[in-house]
Amino acid sequence: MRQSRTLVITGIGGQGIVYLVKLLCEAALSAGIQVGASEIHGLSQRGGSVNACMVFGQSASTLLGPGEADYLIGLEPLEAQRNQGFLHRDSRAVIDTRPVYPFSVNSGSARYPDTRSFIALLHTQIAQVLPIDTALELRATLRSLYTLGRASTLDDFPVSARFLGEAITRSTRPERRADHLDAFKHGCGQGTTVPANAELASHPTEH
Amino acid sequence: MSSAQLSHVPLEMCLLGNEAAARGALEAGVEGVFAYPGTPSTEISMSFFELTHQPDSGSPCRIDPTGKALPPYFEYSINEKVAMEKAIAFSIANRPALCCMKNAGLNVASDPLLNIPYQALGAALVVVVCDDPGCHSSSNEQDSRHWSEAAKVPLFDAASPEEAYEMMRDAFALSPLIQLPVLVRLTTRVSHARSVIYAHSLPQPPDSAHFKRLPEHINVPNHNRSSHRLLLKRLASKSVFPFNERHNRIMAEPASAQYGVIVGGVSAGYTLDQARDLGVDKHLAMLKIGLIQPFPQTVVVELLQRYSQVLVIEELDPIIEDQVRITAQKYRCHGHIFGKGDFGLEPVGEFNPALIRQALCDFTGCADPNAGRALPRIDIPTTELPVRPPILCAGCPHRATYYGLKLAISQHRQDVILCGDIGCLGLGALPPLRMMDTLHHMGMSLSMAQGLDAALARHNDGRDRPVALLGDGTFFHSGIPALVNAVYTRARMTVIIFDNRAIAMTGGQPHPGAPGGASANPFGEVAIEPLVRGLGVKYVATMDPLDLDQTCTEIHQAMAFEGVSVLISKSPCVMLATASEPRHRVTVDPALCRRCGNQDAPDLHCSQSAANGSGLARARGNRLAPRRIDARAQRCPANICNHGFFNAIMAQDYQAALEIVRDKMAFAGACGEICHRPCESSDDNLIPIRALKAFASSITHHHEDLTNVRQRVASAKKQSYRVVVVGSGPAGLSAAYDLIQAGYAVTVLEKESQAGGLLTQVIPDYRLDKRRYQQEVQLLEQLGVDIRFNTALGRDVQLTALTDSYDAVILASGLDQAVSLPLVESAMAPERWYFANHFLSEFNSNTLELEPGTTALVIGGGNSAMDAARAAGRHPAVVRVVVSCIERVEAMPAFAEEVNAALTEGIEIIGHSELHSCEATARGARVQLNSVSGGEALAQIEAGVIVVAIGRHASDFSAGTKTPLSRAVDGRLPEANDGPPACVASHQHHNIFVAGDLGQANHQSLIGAIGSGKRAATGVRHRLENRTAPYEGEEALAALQRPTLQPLPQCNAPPALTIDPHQDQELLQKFALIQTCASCNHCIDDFGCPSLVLINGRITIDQASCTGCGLCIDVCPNGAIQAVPPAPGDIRPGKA
Repeated sequence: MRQSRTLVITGIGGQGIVYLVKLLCEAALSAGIQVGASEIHGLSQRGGSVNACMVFGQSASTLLGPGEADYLIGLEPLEAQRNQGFLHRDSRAVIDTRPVYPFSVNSGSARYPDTRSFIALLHTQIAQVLPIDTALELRATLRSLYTLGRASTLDDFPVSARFLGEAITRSTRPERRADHLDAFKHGCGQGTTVPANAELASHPTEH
Repeated sequence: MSSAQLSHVPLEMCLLGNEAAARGALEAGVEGVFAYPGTPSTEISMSFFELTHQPDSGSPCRIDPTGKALPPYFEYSINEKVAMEKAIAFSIANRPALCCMKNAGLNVASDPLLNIPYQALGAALVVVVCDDPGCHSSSNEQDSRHWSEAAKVPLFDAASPEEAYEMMRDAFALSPLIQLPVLVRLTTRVSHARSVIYAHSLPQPPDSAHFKRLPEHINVPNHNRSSHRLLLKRLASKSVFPFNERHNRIMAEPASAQYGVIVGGVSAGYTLDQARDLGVDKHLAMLKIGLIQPFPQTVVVELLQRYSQVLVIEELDPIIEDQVRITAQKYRCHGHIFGKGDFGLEPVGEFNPALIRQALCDFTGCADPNAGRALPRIDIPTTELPVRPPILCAGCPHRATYYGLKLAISQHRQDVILCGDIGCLGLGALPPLRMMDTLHHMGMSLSMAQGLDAALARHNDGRDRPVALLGDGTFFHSGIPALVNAVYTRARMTVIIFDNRAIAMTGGQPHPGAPGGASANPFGEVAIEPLVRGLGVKYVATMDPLDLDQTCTEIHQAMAFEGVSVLISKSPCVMLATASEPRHRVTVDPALCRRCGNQDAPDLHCSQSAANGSGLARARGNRLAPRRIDARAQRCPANICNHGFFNAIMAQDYQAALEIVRDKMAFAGACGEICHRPCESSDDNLIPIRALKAFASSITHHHEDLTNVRQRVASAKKQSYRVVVVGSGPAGLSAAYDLIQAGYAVTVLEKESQAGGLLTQVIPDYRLDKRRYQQEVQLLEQLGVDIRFNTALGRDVQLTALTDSYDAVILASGLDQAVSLPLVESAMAPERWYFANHFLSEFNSNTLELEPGTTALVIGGGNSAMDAARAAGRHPAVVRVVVSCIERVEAMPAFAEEVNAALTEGIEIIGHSELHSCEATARGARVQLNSVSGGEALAQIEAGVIVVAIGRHASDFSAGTKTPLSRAVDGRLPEANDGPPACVASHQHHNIFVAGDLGQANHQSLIGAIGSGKRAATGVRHRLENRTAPYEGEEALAALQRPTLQPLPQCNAPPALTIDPHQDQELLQKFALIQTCASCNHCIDDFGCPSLVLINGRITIDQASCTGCGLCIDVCPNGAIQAVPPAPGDIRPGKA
């Protein structure tokens, strides 16, 4: 058995998955935790399905197999469903329930799967599920930071909110720092308000 | 994660494998970096690109957080070959050089790679190449380790970011020692893994650049054989040993080990973790091979001698395995070697932990304790989820170019072959754009297009023009020689260069044509247009793809050019800082989006399908057709959706076109032949709907396929109402058609033995395909309408009986009595004069007997008179046909088309004339025709036969009953003023309706009869179901309604009476019918900007991702997407 804790982040190219991985790595490093990650860059970043695997603690590899993720951050519900095979009975997950329809759904050739029943089923299968309400009005990157904030409240999350907050402060440009921190803290339940539309969706490489 | 054996830890960095490799090179003192971007290698070169621009960006580069590094010379070269060659030059000038590329890039650079080992280097030359097992972002799954064998140069194969860092440092150390370039190979899962690196300090800037003249710099054949020997000597030199020992070692060998495992690359980590997790690590001795050339035979022999069973685990090709087998043979090791083909290890695809776990279990015979993980798996049934392939970004100018191309060429692309290329524009091959016929490796588009042109030239008649589609980066990379070749060989092809001002797919790296400026292209721009002109291309134009009209026009013109034409579609990638600001804030007007413009009630069936390309046809017409016609101008009394019909035809979905007609009526074939085309009557040059209807009905297997309408009847909600229709002509049957589809039980009474009314009995065969008409009539019976023959109202059944036993009665028995002409009746023998309908039915049944040499006189100016005259003209005994009518010729009530046809056939029409006298003669009668107004004599005719066609009236079937209906003079039934549509005025009955010629409207036409039948059906449904949806064809039907003997609207000659949409495509493309459509999904199906989202059946704009380019405003054929000025503070996404 691994002497480590594992995390899968799933979503869509453009949602800032690579940015979240960088923050988690920075935070783990500050906290003195060994960390490694496996990401996908390039073609699939163009609006396609993207996931990243992370390992906190001693490990020779960072790619995870079926049933190997202790935590899941799902930035989009369909992608969370697609990656449910990573989960085990003691997994904990935070899932943004706001759908982003793939082309096949928009064109009417495929049906978007029901999110509510998936979340309900997941509640019965894993240790903890924190769904994020669709009504939350935030642009893509801030939404991902909010979700990261929520993730940090999952039981025994490998990296604490304090280190994550510091990592955000360190790795964000000064003009965006306050918004990013606000969104994150709001997700942690520490902040009070997050200005809607304060920042527009952003490409991960721009951070 | 090992922190390796570093004694001091000055800097802890969390880096991607690619960044770790870059940091390693930086620490090794690299002074020149040459690269071409390509996933998964890009972050290596980007690290140096950022390092060079560190002062501009204001944020520290990831590989140099302290900002102290002296940036090496860096360039994104035009391609990998040039990158490699310049790196060689740097090395020869005694400056350590690095060259970075992806797998396929090394193929491009293979020429210098395979030659330089024969010659001399100066400082270190390291080539880093990234393979992509699993083809995440690559056109093949090649194993670049083969190149080290081919070039006979060392290759380090990294298993992790830490190794990438260490191996890069060692590669720089090794290369100058043996005077050979050294390869470092990463794979996707190493390049894009992130680990903590314990970095060393950076070197002091050296000052060592010099060029030394050496004979080895001159490559001449007589040196080469000895150079080859020297190269092998260098590779085998002792300098390699320490590197070999460090990177090829037995990592673990517990005392209890029973098996040997040899691992290379990223699989090493999986093997370690999974062996530990399974608990088989205590049985395994593990040899890790990190430097595969020269192959470490000694350590391999050690392992082979100690273990009789050895498993080799490496991704892709069996390169280590083959060397192990060679070594075993050479050193006579007789153990069992496993590898590719064993335990599920394949040369295809990337490995993963689960696959390695299974292989280890199978190899060692250990059972997996959990068949998975220590923790139980969850149990959620997996359903098939919609895939989410990558797509072009919102606002991407490539999409704009593709869309313009889509509109500019024919719908099914019969006229072009689209030869695509790689990069972001390669996504144009996928839905929704699907705009590629070929897609190969980088730069192939231009060669493919000219090759196909040459190959197909003789068989092609100028069709299938090849069009090469390639990006700006690709054009510079490998397009220029191919373009020159096309010019030189006089190819006939069009080239579209998608110039989005950067190498976009890999994140916006500059190429020679990228705009100059410190942060992008620091060297200055090589403009594409003058370059292309300079290559000898005679037709070059630059266009803005966001200007749709310009794009379509430019594409048309370029395609028409005889030789090589080049279009540069220039607009910056939305991800670039230079991308344009939002031009609009875009919204969708729900009143125009996905609304039926045909006034259909929402519960009416529509056979239009968004999937058949009719949306594209509509959009193309809407945008490009010279004649755009408001569909209301071509409205039909049956309210057939001519707009949908036409666009289905244009999309070549002829079945859907026919079904759209059948949505509204059963008589597509009959209308295609004899409809008088009120839909085409309001202007000249309108769309030839009737001819197209004839075409659609002529496809027999579609016409005979009644599946859809049967399904509609079968799935209709059954009503308890029973309706009887009197008369089985088009009016009665159209009422029956609508009611049976609304779930009613319908009975039709027909006084003859055959259904079909006047069309069956009177219309001559040369005008109507009777067999097909009978099929359309019989369709009603097949749908469950009960037709009772030989049952006449007033004779066999009384009206009161019907009103009592049915919920509604529809009277559609027509005008069954002809108006007689006493002058003729009294003078002529009965066998020498006819009423028009008798004459025609005898003509139709071939029983008409006339004396040879007969002159036929037809009296009357309506359609029956024209039919009789034209029939007479076809009779072999008739030599002359004269028509006398009281109207002037230009005001005859017959349809102009019929009058013209009669005149063309040589029939004499004496207009404004009346019968003055008629005297019997031996061979018929002598008839004197005089002018109606002045009374002067016009003509004297010796008529052998006279046909009387001066009008008809209805018999009084309700006479003598308790409840006679009030009737007009000619027997027509007036409608109640305050009742539902078509309800007959009666004090006693509220459930009698009228359709066809018996109604007061008197449409005198097939389509009028059909419309009136539908109207009566609507009236019945209003009465019985309290439905309120109006009869949709009211306006068009009312336009037909004229008092008797008044001329109907005259038809102007349409462009064609018969048409084949395949042959006459060019003609049809001149037209567009404009109308909103409820089935429209065009902006998503054919354009597919991800900001266009379908939510609850409505298209909306996702403002969060919309870039405000506004192209979708032009894309929408309904005018539903509209611009409002950008709100203050609107910023383009990605530009915050």
